Amino acid sequence: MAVIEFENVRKAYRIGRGRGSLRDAIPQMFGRVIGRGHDDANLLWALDGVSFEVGAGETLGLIGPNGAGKTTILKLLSRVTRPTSGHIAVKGRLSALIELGAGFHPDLTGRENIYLNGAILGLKKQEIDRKFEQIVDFAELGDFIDTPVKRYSSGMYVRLGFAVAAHVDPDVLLIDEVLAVGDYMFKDKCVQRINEFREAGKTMVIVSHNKEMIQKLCTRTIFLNEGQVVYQGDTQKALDLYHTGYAGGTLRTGKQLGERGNAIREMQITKVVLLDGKGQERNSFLTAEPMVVQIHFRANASVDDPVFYSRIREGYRVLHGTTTARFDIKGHFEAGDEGVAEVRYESLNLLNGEYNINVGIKRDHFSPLTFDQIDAAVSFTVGSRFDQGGALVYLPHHWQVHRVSQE
Amino acid sequence: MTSNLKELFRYRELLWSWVVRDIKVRYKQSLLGIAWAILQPLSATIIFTVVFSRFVRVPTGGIPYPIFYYSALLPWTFSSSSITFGVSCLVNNMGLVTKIYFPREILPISAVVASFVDFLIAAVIYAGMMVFYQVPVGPSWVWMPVLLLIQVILTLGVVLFASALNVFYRDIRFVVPLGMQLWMYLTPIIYPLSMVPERFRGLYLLNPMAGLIDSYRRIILQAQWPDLAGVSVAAVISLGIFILAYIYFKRAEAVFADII
Repeated sequence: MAVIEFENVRKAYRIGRGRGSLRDAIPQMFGRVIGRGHDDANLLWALDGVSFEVGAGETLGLIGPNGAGKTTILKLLSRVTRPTSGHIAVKGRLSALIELGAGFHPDLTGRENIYLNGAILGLKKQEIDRKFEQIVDFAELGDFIDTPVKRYSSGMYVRLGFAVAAHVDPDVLLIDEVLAVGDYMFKDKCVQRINEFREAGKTMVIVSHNKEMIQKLCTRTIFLNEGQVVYQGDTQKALDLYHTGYAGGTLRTGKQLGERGNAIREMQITKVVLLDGKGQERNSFLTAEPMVVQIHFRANASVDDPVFYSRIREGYRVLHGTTTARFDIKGHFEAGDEGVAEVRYESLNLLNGEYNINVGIKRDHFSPLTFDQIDAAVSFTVGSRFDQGGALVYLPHHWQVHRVSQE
Repeated sequence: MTSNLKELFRYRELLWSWVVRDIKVRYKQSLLGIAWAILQPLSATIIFTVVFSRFVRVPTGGIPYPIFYYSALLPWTFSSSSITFGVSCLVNNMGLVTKIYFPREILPISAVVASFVDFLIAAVIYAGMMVFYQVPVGPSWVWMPVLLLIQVILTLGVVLFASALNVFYRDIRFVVPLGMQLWMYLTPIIYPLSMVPERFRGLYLLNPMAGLIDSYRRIILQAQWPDLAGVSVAAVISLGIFILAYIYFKRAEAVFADII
């Protein structure tokens, strides 16, 4: 029997509208009166005809690159937003471990926030009373429980957020990347708690970039890309497809950045692409393969010795950063000149996961003046083999195990 | 509408927690704490008393100036602070609205309830004034809960509408203080209703706040029954505003998370 039904769901976001001011609204109203309708060209389809069902006690994984629609699915299931078309039904009490601590107020104490956040997550007061000690224990807060949360460290904040969420008693649980935060010990505790939910027969939907977690927890997995289901079924197969088999497919390639509506900058990044060792454009790599980051740019004024930088990041965390300033690369560009700056990694020593690249051009290494910079200019995935190890980086290594003979 | 109210009832515990939060936060953040609730209507009363008894003489029909002004400013401050605080209640909690589902009207409702607590605190001063000026408690006071109920409905309607609109157009919250000022002048607060020319009276009383404020003064200070026609018009218009605003709010709610 299906606990979650998701039937041919489509969700469109209107880009560049909403969140306006009256100054924008008044011409818009006139436009409507005169008869200029909405232009539907500005619709972004975050989900485009997605269907699936989740049975009682099943754990469904959602994987795919950023912007694939994973989070949109969670938001639709939790009713935060509504579908443009299609049918969604969820049976039973639903709780979401989506944003931890979203309901905290900095001026209230940990105790007050536990009650408030509990209520937001749908707990009754008696339930919170009953679970209060457990929550405080789980969050490892100790004496800080009566301190305003604005004095908490970010670790404490996150722990408290998860602790409250982890003590709800839902029939359906949505989990989004909660384990990306917190220290190692706490992560283990969270995974343990999620396992308990699973053993208790709860139905779960998990979004994660963490391959191990999906592997361990999910009975079935959906691989999404650009709002559509690429594959739905066996977890291992979905992961394999996503991490390796999808090289050079339709995953978004180098973003075309020419139409960005920014003011004229002295230097402007026009395109960022990733290439493999043979100079082919790609967005998925295998551990220890060569990778080239190409920054295409144009000068709009005369510039001497600009500094280029490029960073590999996981989410917002920088894993590696490099700049031309350290290589003593000089150059002069006149208005209208175009060029390419290239970083070549001979061996991409990253393991399984999804990464993105942040690039920029500055006047000089120490200057705060940035000509242009693009936050997640391009993203890519890396696939690795088990014998290369786990976690984030690949450090070439081997194992030896032998008995030490006793005297 | 009934299904919305049912849903709201299911979330009553959250509504209560949120009200408590709003009240706690308000008094924790301010230096003077509870004194603020009193200071606002009281300081306006003092200014109005000085200006309109010394510089410009407003006829109050023999009612002492301080109590004449406080009797109008006390309920007026409840509505005006509900609206000024409430207009950004959705935008201020965007982190929640975009992440977790709950009936969104909980936020504007608790903004109004928190202001109502301020109102009750400030009413203590009013009680003191009535003892001082020896205002008798009469049978006309039975109208008080009715008037308050109408005022709460009206205020809630305006807050629901303004807070939803503020999600789409962020400058609404700058328009609100201006609007409140205009509204105050269109309401018999500084002057008594009797100063409004007879031929404009009908039009004037379309402002539901006018009928309400005038009635508060009548039942408390003059021991008279309120003008039934005025109160009925105020009740009908307030209820109308509330229902339309609630319908608009629930319709807009569907896209809040996509815009904020």
